[in-house]
Amino acid sequence: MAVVAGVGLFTLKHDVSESEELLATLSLETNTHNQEIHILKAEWAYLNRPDRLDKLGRRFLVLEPTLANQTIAIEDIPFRPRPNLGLNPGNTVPPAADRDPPQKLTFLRVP
Amino acid sequence: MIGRQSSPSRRTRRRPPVPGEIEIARVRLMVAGSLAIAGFLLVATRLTIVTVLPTTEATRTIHPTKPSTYNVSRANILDRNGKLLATNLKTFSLYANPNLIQNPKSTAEKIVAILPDLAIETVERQLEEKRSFVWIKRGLTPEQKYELNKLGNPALDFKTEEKRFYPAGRVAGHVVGFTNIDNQGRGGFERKFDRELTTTSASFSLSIDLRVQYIISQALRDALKNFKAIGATGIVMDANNGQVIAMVSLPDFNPNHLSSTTDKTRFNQATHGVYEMGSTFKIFTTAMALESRKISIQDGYDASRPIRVGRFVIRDYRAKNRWLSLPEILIHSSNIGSAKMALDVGRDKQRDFLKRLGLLEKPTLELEEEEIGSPITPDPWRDVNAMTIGYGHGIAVSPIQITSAVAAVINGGIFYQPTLLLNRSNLGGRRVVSEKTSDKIRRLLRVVVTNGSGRKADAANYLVGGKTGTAEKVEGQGYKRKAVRSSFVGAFPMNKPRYVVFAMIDEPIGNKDTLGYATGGWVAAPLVGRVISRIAPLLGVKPINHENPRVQNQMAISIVTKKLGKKHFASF
Repeated sequence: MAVVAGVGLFTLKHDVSESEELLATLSLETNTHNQEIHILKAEWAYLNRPDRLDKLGRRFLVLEPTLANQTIAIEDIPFRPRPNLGLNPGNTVPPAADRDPPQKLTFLRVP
Repeated sequence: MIGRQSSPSRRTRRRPPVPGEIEIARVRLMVAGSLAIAGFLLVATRLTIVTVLPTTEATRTIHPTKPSTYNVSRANILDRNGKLLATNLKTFSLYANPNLIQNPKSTAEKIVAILPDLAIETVERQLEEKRSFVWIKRGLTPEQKYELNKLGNPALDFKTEEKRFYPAGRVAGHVVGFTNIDNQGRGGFERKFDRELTTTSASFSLSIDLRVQYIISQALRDALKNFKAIGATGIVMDANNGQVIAMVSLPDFNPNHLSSTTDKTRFNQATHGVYEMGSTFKIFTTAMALESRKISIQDGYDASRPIRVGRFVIRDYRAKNRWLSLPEILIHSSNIGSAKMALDVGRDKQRDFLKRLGLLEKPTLELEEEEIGSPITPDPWRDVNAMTIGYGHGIAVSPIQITSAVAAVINGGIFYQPTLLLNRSNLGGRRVVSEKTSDKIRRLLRVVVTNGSGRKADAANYLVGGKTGTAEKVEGQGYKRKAVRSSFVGAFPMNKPRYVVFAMIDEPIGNKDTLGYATGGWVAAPLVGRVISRIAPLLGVKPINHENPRVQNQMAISIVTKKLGKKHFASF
């Protein structure tokens, strides 16, 4: 019994020390990676600074800032009237006059 | 038989045992055996305790190096959307031991080849010194460190240091602030929250929106250039909790390159500077008059003649020379009307009212005391002061004060102290004017933009309302006629205000586009209009159809005009 317990304990101890070593390595790696992530985040923020994005946007994109008349509230989009099959005469969308009149929509100019 | 009997005795070759000895041996065996058994029992018990039983103080707990997040000695500062505004980075600092250097000249050449911003003569002189330690350069990038290491010179070594880094650079310089080379907060939020930033590891979220901050700073920069102005400042504030969304002061500085800044660029005009605001103060005079119930929106004043008070003459910029109703006083920005209105309410009431709006004492804000300006107020507060303050002269307040005061009179009447923190705990505001007065002020400010001096601020579909201001700058004893500070304070959408925008240009010079005018209506109002049309979609403000009857009803106002003794009503 003593021998069995002894062998068992030895194996266990060995396993534990092995796991401990692995854990230490992993922690170290995690730390290194966290460090790298930290630096990369700073670099990402630096590359995404608004003045740079503005400059790049002007150079490479044809997009312009959204104007108020280019947006429309979801409630202002009229439903497509359902085809009236004569089964239920009242089953159509109420006339648009009941809602706010939709705003004029202009599209982006592309130079 | 005999042989068989004698054989055991022969094998043991012992003399026949003495009866007592057997006893002794037995006892010894027993003792040794029980000791051994006790030993095994001990081991077995210990084993059971360690392995089978649940954790006791005997079991060893392992504390491995915790896979922590990358810890730095100063917490990050973020904007309201989590964008990084300030962070600490590990950098390397190069030092040398000149005693170990054989050839200072070639070593200096090699170093300068990697660090081109160093002067070769300086480095050479440093390396020739009879010392064992000289700093060559602090704040190196990992790449530069690698290159320097490759030189393989044992006299060169590195020290790891942390350096504060501001990814957005100059865009939010005044708000975020800066640190010195030893990472101690020396300006802005960094200075006020120096202790908190170094003791907690959690990030601090500011109420600033970096995008809005950039948009308004860019608009002000353009104005600075176009009008050859000497300075500009702008603020965007959440009207319903006092959070500062953007705060800009130009000329500005880059907190990453502190050596190139001056006291002038570090000066935060938005909080530190106090200025006579001019006509924007008429908003408060009107609110006070309506709140006192002495004057209704149908009443008005005779503004046909300038007022003489001692050596002062109060006159209108573009005089209408007639009776003006209360809305007209704002639309035409009549000094005469506002002065009379202020006097009607009374100087003590005026002082109390302005005090409640936080205009007479330093605002509380997450900045160091030294970066917040104290308002300049008259003492004693005479009738003549009441009159000039009625149209914004004879009192100097900071832009942040006027912005939060305007927010209070239009948001339904609740005053909130301005804040730079996204999650401030004590958000309680205090009532300064009634809902009713606030509603009237909203309509009045809208009509100033649709029909008055603020026309150019009318960003399409965002229902902008506001008031222009043009204040002559004080020089010596009198006012400098040509040098002005032009401002506009506006809010949107006016039927349910969400944001207040303030802009002020210092000493603008009119150009061809403005027909030579440099007034608030020509310089600051269009700027605010442009800013609003760009930031509104970013801030999630929906466009408003002002032809909608409900909206028209919310903004309707009846204006009495009296010409040649007759009353006319006009609705806007």
